[in-house]
Amino acid sequence: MSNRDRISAGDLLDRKAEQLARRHKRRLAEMSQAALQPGKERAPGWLLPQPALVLAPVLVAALIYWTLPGADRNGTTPAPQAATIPAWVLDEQVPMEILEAPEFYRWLADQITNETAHQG
Amino acid sequence: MQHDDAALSRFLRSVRGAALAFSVLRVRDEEVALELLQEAMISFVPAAKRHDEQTWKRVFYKILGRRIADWQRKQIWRDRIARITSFSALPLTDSGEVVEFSAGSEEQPEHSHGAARLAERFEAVLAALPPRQQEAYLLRQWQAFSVAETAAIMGCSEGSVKTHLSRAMQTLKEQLGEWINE
Repeated sequence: MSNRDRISAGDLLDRKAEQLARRHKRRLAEMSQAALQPGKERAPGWLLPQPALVLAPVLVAALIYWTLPGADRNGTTPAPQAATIPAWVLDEQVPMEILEAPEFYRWLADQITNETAHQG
Repeated sequence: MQHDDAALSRFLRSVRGAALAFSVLRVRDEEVALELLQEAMISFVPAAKRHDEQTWKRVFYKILGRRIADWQRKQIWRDRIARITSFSALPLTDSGEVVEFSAGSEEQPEHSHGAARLAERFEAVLAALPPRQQEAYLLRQWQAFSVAETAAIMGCSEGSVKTHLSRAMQTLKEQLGEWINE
């Protein structure tokens, strides 16, 4: 490659965009159509099914279970407050295989304990 | 504020190629990028009706940027969880690995081999930038938003935009300065 090959970054990005637009031409057109269809607007968040709302009590119960003081479960540290559960656990769809794993709750309790220790 | 569907359709047609590239370069997965773009389009249409047409591009990129940021935040947590719980089934992005973009030769016959390699190298360096630097660079340098518009899209101060941009430009210059013009 020689210096004659110098090219502008904008040109490279434009080419990338053109290439992708060609490759996904039909899908992009369908996506635009779908977005313009009446009724495609999202319902307010509180109307949508909220898996996190269903899972939240389970998570809280599991956290309390694993972190109860005096419960000797592999030396788990004392219970953090349930209110300190990270928002991402409650407002995001953590994969089911993770939610079913006891290790996840041990790890989560450790994370919360560590964060609490750092803050306090 | 009312706009007809034809204007919205024209706008989406004009912006979707670049928006897809913006998304692909940031999430490094075409399928994910397409899904995020679809979500952004769906959210944009009702939002556009409340905005002046002149501001649509800024509104659109702000919505898309938020979708991408949400996805990146999820990836970070999935990565952390997976490392701890040793679940290997999760779809992870290797943080240090450069994704090869599958640009078949039949799609760009006009490009020389050298130019294709240069494009790959450029994308790799861009992909390795921190997300905020990538965003600032693509919005400001490529999409030509003003510093103020870029700050509004990114939800940060103009000073932060300048800092992110300056660092991005420095890295690109260090890595590719010999071959790439700004």
